[in-house]
Amino acid sequence: MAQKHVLVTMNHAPYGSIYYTEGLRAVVGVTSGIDEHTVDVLYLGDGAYYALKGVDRRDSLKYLGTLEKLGARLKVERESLQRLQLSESELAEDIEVISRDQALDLIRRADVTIDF
Amino acid sequence: MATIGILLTAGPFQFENWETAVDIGEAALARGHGVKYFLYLDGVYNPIEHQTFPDLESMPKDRVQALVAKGAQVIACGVCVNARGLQKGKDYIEGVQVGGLPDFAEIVSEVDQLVTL
Repeated sequence: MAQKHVLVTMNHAPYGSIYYTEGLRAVVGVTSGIDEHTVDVLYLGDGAYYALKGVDRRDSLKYLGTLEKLGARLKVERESLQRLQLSESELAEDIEVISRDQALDLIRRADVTIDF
Repeated sequence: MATIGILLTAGPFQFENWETAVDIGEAALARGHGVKYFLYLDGVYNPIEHQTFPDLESMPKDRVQALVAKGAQVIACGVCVNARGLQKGKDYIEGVQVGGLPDFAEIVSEVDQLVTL
């Protein structure tokens, strides 16, 4: 048993399936064990839609609140935004934009990667 | 020897994720590795005892049963189980446990590699 750093990538858009909300529930669950794993959340591909302002967060608010208390940051990959033709000016304030190289570095540094 | 974790979120009879998950588990066990599954979302449908399908020689639950017999640990998310009316897994094959996300956190602690399917 040991504390690990977990990277969770959210690859599904925040509509059309339950992956998004249930993925965040799992993220919070991962932090709940005796080892108190640390997590990063990275939006990739269609998951980048979640980074927009005005996305309905009612289903995920309690999970996001827990993650905020734990110091976990929400990150989105710049290349995913570009592919979807989304501008950084359209993003919510609590989202950090990182490059693909930085995303790869997150994956490299994580002990475990989980994708939803 | 290593321990491999598998997070399975897809159900049977629609996607082939379960088959990949079972294949990986069988291969790992055959080489002496440990295997731990966490069934999440529709993944909790895989070990139901009363599965039938006319064109399949073996049901997902049969292959999960074989994995359990060889020492694999299989835990299903209790919230997902009850959300789908599976009544705490009362119709599960023997050896499948119903737990919660703290169990998944423990699996994350214990495994050398985790595969999401």
